[in-house]
Amino acid sequence: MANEFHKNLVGNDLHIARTQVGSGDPNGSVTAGIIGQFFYDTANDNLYVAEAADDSSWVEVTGTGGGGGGVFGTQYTYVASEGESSTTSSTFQQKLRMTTGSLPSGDYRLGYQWMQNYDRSKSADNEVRVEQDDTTQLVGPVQVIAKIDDEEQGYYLMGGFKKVTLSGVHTFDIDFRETNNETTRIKQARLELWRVT
Amino acid sequence: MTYDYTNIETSPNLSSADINGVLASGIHYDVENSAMTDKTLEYCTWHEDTQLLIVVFTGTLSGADKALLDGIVTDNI
Repeated sequence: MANEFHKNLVGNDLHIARTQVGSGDPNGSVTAGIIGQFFYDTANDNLYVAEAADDSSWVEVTGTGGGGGGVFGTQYTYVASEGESSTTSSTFQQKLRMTTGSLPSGDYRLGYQWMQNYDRSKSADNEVRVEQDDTTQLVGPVQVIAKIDDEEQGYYLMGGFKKVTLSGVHTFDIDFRETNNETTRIKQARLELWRVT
Repeated sequence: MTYDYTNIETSPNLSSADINGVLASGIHYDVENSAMTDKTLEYCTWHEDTQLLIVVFTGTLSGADKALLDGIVTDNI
């Protein structure tokens, strides 16, 4: 960790102040020498300012610009499993998992997409879900039924987005299963996450 | 018990039914209609990204049953 002097643009004001540089949230680990001291978190590209001369009053600088200020679009994470997967399991099988880094507290946008197969000879017996931390179902289970003019078998593009409030490390899964002893297929599964506020 | 089959590059026929929903082909169908003594097949899952096929049975197969399963898998890829 280094003690340095930096120019900091906060909102519309330019500050020149003593700034420390380190990795991770400084609360609980870095003691500010003076009120107004800055700390730059190199791991997450976040800037903090001390509201008291202690180790527990660091506040992340979010700025006053549009789109949520300085944090919008940070913590970006993307994973994909493009190939086809198939199963006969009635227990959900994991198609894709995204594990985040240690996230600062805030609101995040989770985007999700997959191609889910249909088969006109079957009823709606394939299911896909999006799950957080192996406990919370965020989306689904989604079933698809072929339209009358569809080919015998094929895929539908499914997807959307959701605002989630997060802090720390989390996992997000796209899971799929078959409920009628036949075969369910999924491909082009993608997850992405970025910070909004 | 989970049996792994690696380097499966193309989509295997895990289980297919006819229009009435009756199993008609695939690994599940072939196990049901085989000489295997243990037919407690729970499920199969295949991933193109890893080229891995897993076949899950409730119990552990004998050597003879495992050989029969190997042949069934080969017939369905």
